[in-house]
Amino acid sequence: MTDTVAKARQLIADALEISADEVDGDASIETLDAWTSLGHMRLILALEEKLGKQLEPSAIVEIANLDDVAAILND
Amino acid sequence: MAWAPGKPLRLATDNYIMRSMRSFQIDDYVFNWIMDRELTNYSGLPRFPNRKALEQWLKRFDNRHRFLLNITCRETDRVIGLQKLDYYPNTESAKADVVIGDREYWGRDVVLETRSKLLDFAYYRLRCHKVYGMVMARNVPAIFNYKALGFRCEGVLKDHDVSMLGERCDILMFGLLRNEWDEIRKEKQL
Repeated sequence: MTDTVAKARQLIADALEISADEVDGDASIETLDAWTSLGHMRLILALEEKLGKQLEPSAIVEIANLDDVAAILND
Repeated sequence: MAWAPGKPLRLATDNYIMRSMRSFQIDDYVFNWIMDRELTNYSGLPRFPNRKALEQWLKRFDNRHRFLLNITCRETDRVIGLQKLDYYPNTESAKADVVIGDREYWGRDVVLETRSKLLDFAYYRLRCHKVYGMVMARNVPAIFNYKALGFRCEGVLKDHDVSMLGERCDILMFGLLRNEWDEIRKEKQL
């Protein structure tokens, strides 16, 4: 697992208030019950805080799984 | 679904009941969250200067083309939010809006559960070809809910609207066609 993916896992886990162990490689809006609208909002805010800027609307729309979060962190 | 055009609408899910909103149902609790500009900042609700203006607004909903449904939690019998549907028969389309005013219910899939039922009504009773939503780009929960129900983002309207607190916002257009909802219902076994 790359460092970025590990960071993305932790970010998702914190936002959804679950353990990072529950965020597996396939983690997505579809697979995680804890990934609710409120959790999603916390995730977007955490990402923005980490990046130090607001995400573009198109990026907010695209985020739906672990890979998407890692890709944003990589940008 | 015992409804006829012009008659109050009632839709029920496992945890919530949606009913055509009447002015007497706006108790102080409901009035306070409707008037809370921070809470409704990105909701697209109009600004109401007072209760009378809100009551006037309610009269626009004729249960024929315009629907405003309160969302009542079965367990607490409390009105926790509103679902709005504007139906345009000429284009067989409808615009959906929602606000969950009770913060205790945020993140509890209220919108997913209730909107699914409202979509059934829009597609199979009103015979809508398309349902769409216009979402302020910072309304992350709304974006999540549209996507989770299978809506596609069809475009961005730049600096198109102003939030309740005066922030200029892009608007994201989300849409879903009836045949797509048919497929989603099959997939999710709704």
